[in-house]
Amino acid sequence: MSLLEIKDLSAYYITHVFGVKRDVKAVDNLTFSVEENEILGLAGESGCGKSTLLKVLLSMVKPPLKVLKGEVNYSYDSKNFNLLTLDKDRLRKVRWEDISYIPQGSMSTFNPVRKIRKTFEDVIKTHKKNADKEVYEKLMEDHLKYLGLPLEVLDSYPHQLSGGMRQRTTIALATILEPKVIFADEPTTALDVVVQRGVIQMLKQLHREQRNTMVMVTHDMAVHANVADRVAVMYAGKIVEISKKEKLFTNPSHPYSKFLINSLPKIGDRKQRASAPGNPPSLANPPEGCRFHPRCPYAKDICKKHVPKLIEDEKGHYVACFLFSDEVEEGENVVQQTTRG
Amino acid sequence: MKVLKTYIIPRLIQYLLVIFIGITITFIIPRLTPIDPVQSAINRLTSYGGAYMEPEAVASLQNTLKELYGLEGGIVEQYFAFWKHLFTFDFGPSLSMFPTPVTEIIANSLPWSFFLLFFSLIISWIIGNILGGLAGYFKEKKWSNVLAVVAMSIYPIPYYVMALILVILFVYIFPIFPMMGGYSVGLQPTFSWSFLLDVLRHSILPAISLILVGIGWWFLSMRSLTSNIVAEDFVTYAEFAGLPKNKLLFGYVMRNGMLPQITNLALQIGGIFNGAIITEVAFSYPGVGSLLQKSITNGDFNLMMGISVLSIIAIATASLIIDLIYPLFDPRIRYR
Amino acid sequence: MFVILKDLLKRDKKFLFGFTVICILVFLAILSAFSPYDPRSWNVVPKDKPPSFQHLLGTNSMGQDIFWNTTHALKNSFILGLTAACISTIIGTIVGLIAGYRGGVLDRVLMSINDSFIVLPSLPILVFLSFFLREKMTIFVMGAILSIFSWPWGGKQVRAQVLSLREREFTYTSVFSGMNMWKVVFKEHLPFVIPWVIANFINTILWALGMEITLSVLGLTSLETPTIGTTIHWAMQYQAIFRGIWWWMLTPIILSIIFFVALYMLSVSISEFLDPRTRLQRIKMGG
Repeated sequence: MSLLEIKDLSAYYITHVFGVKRDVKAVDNLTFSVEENEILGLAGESGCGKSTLLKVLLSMVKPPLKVLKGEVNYSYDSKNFNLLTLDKDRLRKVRWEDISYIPQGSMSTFNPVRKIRKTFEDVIKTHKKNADKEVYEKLMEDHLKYLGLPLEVLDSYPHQLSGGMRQRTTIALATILEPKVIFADEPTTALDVVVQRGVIQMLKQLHREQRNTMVMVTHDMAVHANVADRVAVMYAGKIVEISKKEKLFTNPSHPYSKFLINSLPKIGDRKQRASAPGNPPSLANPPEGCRFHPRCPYAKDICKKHVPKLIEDEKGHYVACFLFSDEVEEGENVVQQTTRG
Repeated sequence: MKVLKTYIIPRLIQYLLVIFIGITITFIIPRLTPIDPVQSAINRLTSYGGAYMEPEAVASLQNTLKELYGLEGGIVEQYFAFWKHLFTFDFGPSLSMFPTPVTEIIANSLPWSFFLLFFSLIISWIIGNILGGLAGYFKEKKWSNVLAVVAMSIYPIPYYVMALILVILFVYIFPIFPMMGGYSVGLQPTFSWSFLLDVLRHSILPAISLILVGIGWWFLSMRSLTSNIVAEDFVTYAEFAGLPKNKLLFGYVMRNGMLPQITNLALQIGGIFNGAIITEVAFSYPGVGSLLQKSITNGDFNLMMGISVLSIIAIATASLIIDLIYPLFDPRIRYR
Repeated sequence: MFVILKDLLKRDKKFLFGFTVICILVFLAILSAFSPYDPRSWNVVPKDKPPSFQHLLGTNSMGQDIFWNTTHALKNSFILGLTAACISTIIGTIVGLIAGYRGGVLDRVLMSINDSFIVLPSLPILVFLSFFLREKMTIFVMGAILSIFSWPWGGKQVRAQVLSLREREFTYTSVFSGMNMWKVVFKEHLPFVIPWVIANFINTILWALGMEITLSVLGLTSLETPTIGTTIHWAMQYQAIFRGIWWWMLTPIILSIIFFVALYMLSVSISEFLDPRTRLQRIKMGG
């Protein structure tokens, strides 16, 4: 069994302002899984739904976001549960100890008027209720030392640290209880390249030595190339391809992935970089059928009417495109098997 | 520590600037009228015939008046003479309670005003902020919105009107409290319990008047501040971490919300002072407010000038003190 | 524009209340043009009569009809508030726009002056001022004088807005394309700042009217001119409550409460509507 299985997950932003009703279909009928001890990269343009997906996988769903259907099933250490249905106490226990989160823009994850140490203490005390002071002091110091962070960080205020340092401290905070699954949302964005490297090294070290699973959301393909084992490509609220990193970068299957990879600069290749024509669709009003068909050079008739289902065409490789299969996604529409044509 | 200098010194300069501007305005004002204030004051005094004044007294009074309001000498000369008087806190004698010096009269009323203002301010600030913080954190709950509507209906009511309402309600309709004064007529001020209780009884209505309007304002502003803070990253993250609600509320949300409220206190103090003055008038409470009213009725502009200048200095100082305390609470200013 | 108005009226109870009440009050103020009595004359009707069909709100001890007097009071209050608000908002907005845009020494100088005026206790100074200018105190003059103390609040807010606008791309575009400061400030920045300008405007009216009451009660304004404040003043002078002429005192009290609360609701709902952050918070769950 996979560590994390997502089934038929749909989550929309349902807004109703001044008489205008608008549903933003950020996560639309997703089904995929995350294996134990892998690093899964989640790639895609801004606004394709990556961050929303992450929020749902962590059960951080607040209005106007609403989960319409689906399951988020975790399975590890002989525990089996659907995160979305957990009660508050179990949820609190699971978070941080088993499932942790490094948020986007870790510039402001710390309380601005308290020393960093206090935030660490608060978090640790919430999960290890009866520990002595020396126990968690030691825990904090050991963990920071392990990650190569100076101990003075604990006695500083957030504004005294640089952006990169804050990001790394957030990572330290998120991993202090050695969680099994870590979700990282754009951990390297807004940092300069040198610090980016530091962050990536830190994440890799954690993965290697704590043997955890990571889901990394970023639009920066270079980070995926560096860190991920498998990469899932998202487009307009749907997953279009999941593939091993090497295969994705050398031989992408889905037309969108092709454009994505082709737009990356390559050493020695002087051709002008091309990107996909047109613009990503609005998630409030996505195109009918395959979401990518208006921009796809290979679009067929069927693409305009039906949504292709994400199928496994080779071992460990998934793609959602009528170039590779005829299967249509089951949804509110009637399921139809059509012949190739 | 060096950083404090970048905060403290500009603030001190600001302080001096306020006093300078305020006093200059007070200097200019009497000179805007076409009538010679000195002459009219002298006329009024000698014609009321309340107390007979010796000629030397009249002469020295005339000199003081000329220096404070007079138009002799060039403007610059007048200005410097004016400042000289102020440095010695010499506003001359009160024209209506001649020859008691103005400073002495004000000094008698000051403790009453201070006592009323200070306690009403502290109580309304603390209660308003705590309620506002809770209401902002639980913004969707019904009681939060009900309280907000109540606050919105109380806060805009002008201080005087609020005072009148309380007078009508609690002095006429339900005669619980005494209507006016700081203490019952005929009682001699002593430091006995009975006197203090009597003072308290008389102060309650004015205090309630100030507190109600005050709570309205602090509640609404804190509620709005808090509801913004709740949406910030570090709060959502801490919620995700599962921190217990009361820790979130006090350690994270309120702690951050209090800071702008301290700054607001420094800004609002002028307006609150105004409210206190007019509330005193409504209750004939023996503070600076009633003194001001008497000075108007009697045309005693020495007293008016004294009150103006002293209140400028007092408010500017209060605002300065609050601003200087602020770094103690906000580590972002304390450490750079 | 009207669509927005209708939307606000339907959805925001505060706006509904505020807008309706203000409309009624404006109507009453306009009604004053038809008043059969000159507000400055005394003894035109029998004194101290309780409300009746002839005199809707009764009469006062000076022999005036309270209802018609009140319509004049409303008119004068509106004029006063609008005068103070106009002058104060214009000055405050210009100062804020320039200080925020220019920055540097100019900004610091302007802000120092701005903050000094905020801290200054307005009442004692206004008392002192009104005492000496009592004769010349028409409604307009009073509005102008009040604006001396109300402009800095707008200055502070507008400047804060401009500070963030300054860094945005469209500012750089305008500057690089050769627009001078005045054009940039008025054509590009001003539209963004309008929500705060409006909120400021209404709040200044509130403050000015409050100050008017205070000054009138102290006897410092032109006492023959009917305003809410002078009505209270005269009612106090004649001991209206003691003598049971409650209609004389209650009218301005209730009127001022309704007026002020309505204005405040209006100001709050408009600024909530225009502020993009609170807009997000108002998005409800549909479906």
